[in-house]
Amino acid sequence: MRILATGIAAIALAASAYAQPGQGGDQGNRNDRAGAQNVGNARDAGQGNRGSATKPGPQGERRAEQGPAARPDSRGQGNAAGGRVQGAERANSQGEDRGQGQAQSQNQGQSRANRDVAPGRADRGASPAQGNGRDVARNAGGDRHIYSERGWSPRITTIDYRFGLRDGCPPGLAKKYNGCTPPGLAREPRPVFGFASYEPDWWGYRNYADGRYRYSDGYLLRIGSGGLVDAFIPLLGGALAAGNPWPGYYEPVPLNPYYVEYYDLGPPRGYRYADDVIYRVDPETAAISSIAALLTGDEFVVGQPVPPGYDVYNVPYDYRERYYDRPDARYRYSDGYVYEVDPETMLVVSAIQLLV
Amino acid sequence: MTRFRRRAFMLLAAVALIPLASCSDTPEEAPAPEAASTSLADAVKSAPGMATAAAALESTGLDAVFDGPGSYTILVPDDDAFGALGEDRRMLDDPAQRAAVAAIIRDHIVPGFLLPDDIAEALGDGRGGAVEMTTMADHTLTFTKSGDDILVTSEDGANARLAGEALVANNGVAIPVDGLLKARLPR
Repeated sequence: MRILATGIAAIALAASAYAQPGQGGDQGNRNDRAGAQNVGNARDAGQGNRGSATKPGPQGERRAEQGPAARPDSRGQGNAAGGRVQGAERANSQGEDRGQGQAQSQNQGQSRANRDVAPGRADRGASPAQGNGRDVARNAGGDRHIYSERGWSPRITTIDYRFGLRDGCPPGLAKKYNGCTPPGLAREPRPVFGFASYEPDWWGYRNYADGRYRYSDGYLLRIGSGGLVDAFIPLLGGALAAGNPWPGYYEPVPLNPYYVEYYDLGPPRGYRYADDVIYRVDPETAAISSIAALLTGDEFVVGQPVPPGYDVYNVPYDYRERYYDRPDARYRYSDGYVYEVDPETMLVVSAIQLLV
Repeated sequence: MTRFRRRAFMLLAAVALIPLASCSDTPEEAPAPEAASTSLADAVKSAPGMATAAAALESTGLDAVFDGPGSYTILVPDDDAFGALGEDRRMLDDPAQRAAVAAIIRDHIVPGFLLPDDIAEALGDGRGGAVEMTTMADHTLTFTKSGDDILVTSEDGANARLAGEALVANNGVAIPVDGLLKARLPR
């Protein structure tokens, strides 16, 4: 896991150029094509988009010029996604989310990472699509900002915060384990049902140091000198599972507004983030209610090589007709962004936010 | 897609793309899969042969992820793959092991919308016969061809074969595989 997922992004965003996702006329064509659901139709749209994407736009946000005629069609398509059980619920929370996002960007105006996203929210707020929720916006625009500034990289959280190992024994277990010397834990463990290793990497926590770990009660416990548990990691599906309280030793860290919107998280009090996983929590009790999203945490930086592990085209369905691999561009999806990659150099050309 | 067609497509859009017959197609020639109205969580839940995986998603709470926003592809071990675990299959029903089960599942998830045809396309793209995708557990899956099949191998050496039609949902894809992509340790 990339613990410091928030590292690089805040470079030169004041000078960041936002390219318009597409021209109004082109947009209308795209929506017509969308009805056919044919990848082949996407070629012109994609090229048109690329032309805009690679051409630096004026500083600041330019609202996508969506042709009104395109909306009814796109709204219909959006309903397909809205047919999910939580569709209505999501649409409701969207409004709440927006309000919160505005507040966030005001409160944290010092954050350069926030600044880059805040204009988008302002723009979105003024957009006629707002009242129709995410599905309309998704299909009317398809994307919202394209960041082509060298060094630009998304930041998941608004502040740097290291989750990492926590010292000592997990709260509550010290008593159960007789002062963190649980009988048996210090002995050589047997793999759990033939599978589980006790190294953090096995559990998907790659950036944690190796050591003598044991698994118990939803935690990885690091065994220190004298067989004492000297540090621990709360695990997804274990300590960090629905019904459990959010641990007080992990600060609530606000996510950048784009992630809040993309994953439909609502106000900060209703979600928590740790180690590339977003959880929904009860705003009052902070009890975990569900797992909201899994993130790769992979760091895409404009102008830098695409991270390893993205050999296969993986753009989400709704965006395939616009962003498809061509001789002069490849597209890869990660954590709510589509990245354009130069096939020759395999450098990231731009990061594209997706409307949802 | 018209409203009528969407309604007619309430179940799963199957993309029978495991054989590599279409690997020479260019992207613009390949027919696009139809949009699905069901979520990835529901797709797995209602798919034959995926009952064990669906139960594991539910018990770990990961099903909520696939019922929400985002885009994911799950390589879903089929029921036979879980059955091959024998006694060790008990871990799936053990509440104390849910974190381990979640870790195993997380290594079967890759970001985005990944069709078998996309994998075949990448494999035919002159990349030395192997392509890699990262998992949501920060490990790497390697896809290779074996005759008409596509094999997938995990970083720790477990491997499986893409085995059956992929299920297309509105927020991702479920691709059945015939084994678990997490190696069992020597005991």
